[in-house]
Amino acid sequence: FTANDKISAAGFSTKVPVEHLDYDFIEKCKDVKYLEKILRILRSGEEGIYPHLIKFCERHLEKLNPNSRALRKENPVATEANFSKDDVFLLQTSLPKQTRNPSKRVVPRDYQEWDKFNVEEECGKVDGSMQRNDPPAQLNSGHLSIRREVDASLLSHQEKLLLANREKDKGNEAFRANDYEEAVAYYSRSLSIFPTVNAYNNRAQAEIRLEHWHNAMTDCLQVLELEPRNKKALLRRATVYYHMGKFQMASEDLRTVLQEEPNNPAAMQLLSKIEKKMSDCPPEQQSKGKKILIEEMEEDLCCSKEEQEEQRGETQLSVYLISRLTHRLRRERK
Amino acid sequence: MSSPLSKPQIIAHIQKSLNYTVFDSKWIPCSAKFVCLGNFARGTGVFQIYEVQHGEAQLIKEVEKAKPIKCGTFGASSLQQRHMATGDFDGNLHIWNLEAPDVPVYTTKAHKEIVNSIDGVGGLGIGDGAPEIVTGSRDGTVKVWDPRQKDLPVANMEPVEGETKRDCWTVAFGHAFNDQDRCVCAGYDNGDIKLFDLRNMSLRWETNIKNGVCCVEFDRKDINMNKLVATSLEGKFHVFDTRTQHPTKGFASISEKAHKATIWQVRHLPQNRDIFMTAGGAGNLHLWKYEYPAQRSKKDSDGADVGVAGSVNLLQNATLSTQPIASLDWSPDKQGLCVCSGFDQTVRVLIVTKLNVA
Repeated sequence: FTANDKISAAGFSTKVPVEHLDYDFIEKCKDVKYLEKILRILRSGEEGIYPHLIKFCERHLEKLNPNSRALRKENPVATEANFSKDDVFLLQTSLPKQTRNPSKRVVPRDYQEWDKFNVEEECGKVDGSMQRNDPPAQLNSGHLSIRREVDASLLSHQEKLLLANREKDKGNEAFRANDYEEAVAYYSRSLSIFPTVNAYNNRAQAEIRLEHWHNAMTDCLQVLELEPRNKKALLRRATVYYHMGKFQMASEDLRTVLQEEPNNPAAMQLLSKIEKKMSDCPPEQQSKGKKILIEEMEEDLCCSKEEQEEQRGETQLSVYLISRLTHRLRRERK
Repeated sequence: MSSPLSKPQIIAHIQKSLNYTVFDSKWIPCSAKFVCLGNFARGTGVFQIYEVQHGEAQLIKEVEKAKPIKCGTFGASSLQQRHMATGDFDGNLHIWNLEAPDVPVYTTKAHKEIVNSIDGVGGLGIGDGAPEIVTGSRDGTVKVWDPRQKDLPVANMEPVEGETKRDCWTVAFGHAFNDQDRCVCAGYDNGDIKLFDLRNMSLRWETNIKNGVCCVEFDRKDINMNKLVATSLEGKFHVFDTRTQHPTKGFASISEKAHKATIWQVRHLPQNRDIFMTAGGAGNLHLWKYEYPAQRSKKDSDGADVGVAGSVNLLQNATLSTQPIASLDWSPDKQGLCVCSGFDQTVRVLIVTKLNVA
């Protein structure tokens, strides 16, 4: 190591001494640029051809810097011969088929399948630990002038599906680049053309990232109206409940998800967080009992779901306050 | 060490040898057909329509025209009509209905010299607003056309009287996220890149990347401009982050040296704006993925916002031939399917797998 430093200090910048083209030296060398230089010389064959040494040097360089330019290889193009029969069959059958009538368009049943594929992958990324807390600053605040409504009245059903998918894809891309406002705008556009479960779900997730809990709740409820057992919507609703403080309802949603998919990691994580929170606040336990009583009476009076929810929120708050007051009174008495 | 099976693979599905020089190849939207544009050895232009059937490209139609055809686009036509706009060696702009290609639907003498590059926006459901076509020519001008207006361009960007004219090699539309905004980016042979704003009719930004610009493309035409990739001679390409514009420094960028020769084309995947493919003069294709930085802009010493460029990773590369690959087009319908043509008079249909996990 010190020999390496001495040599670079002495200015041997263009030549690599022959002693360095050696297994021991390469193994000990940590300087990426120098290793690349050694590799170049070995590949050029000036000092002789040592294929095994070249491979050894490449492996070592890959360990230190896998993205090094010197490691890029010219690959020949792959052909069907490189793949198994099943893969080739899959490839060939998945190509777009031409309908006999050129003026009519191909039935886009495939688009819906790609739809689902896309969103699952999205969910995997989101439910993983890729938390980006840095806010994206934009000088171009053009997302504010994106129209949220698209006039799609003149289009056929297939065209509407196509456009809606495209807007949803744009929303997904903005989401991945952490532009959540823009993502919400594109999802809204997609929904105005053609409402789909996936667009609602994705918009709910974007609103969760923006911490607009009420909007996220509306979107989750929409999904659950269309598909009552949609796992992602239940998970997202549980997240919203958790942030709004309604732990009981959150844990109910999570239990429903875990019934269907017992090993869902996101659900289990959130459930354990909720249980920890619930055990941390014992006075809540008492008010919980009272809360249920009041709810039953209210349900007879109110008709709309949202009104009920608001009422529950208010009664819960007032009950909590009452229990705190009684607690204080009891303490003072003591 | 990532296993080689999890990386995207570039597979050559169909290879078709042609008997003419092919300059451009484009998919016909919502179909399994593609068009090849070029010229015969006898000096006449040709376009051929092929259909992908049973692992083979079947010739459906061949049309011969008076002048060699250089470039084409479907970008400004609606999904039902699918008219193709072409620029030829004589500076003419024609729009053809491929079902009845004898007489063009629209024709105009766009430029005095060859039309090097053409792009369209507003059709195919991409971009709100009027459909428009932009052409860039060797006479140094960039003109924007509306198919509803006869003979005269809607906008003309030309050098001032007395200034030397530099060939315009490439044009691209972008920033068309509502029906009023639009931008045109043009690349010239001396390395100039100019960004024209069509709403304000002004030059929004310009820079020089020292080598002639072979191809520019925005990652998506119909969003608030996000990224711009410009490829040049001597194997370099630059990715500009166009979300944040500094008053003096312009856009932040990174550059990457890749193919050992000119990079002829760059094309973004229509289904994922962060993946793009570059086609090189040594007959090779490189597939790249752009990663955003943790923070896309920061404050500089004067307190103005300046952008931060991310990084580019090479996902896969493939060598197809020894001659340059001059054109590349992703299929808008099937993710990973693309058609490319090269100066070895061959057109190839490629499939790129595993783009979802990339």
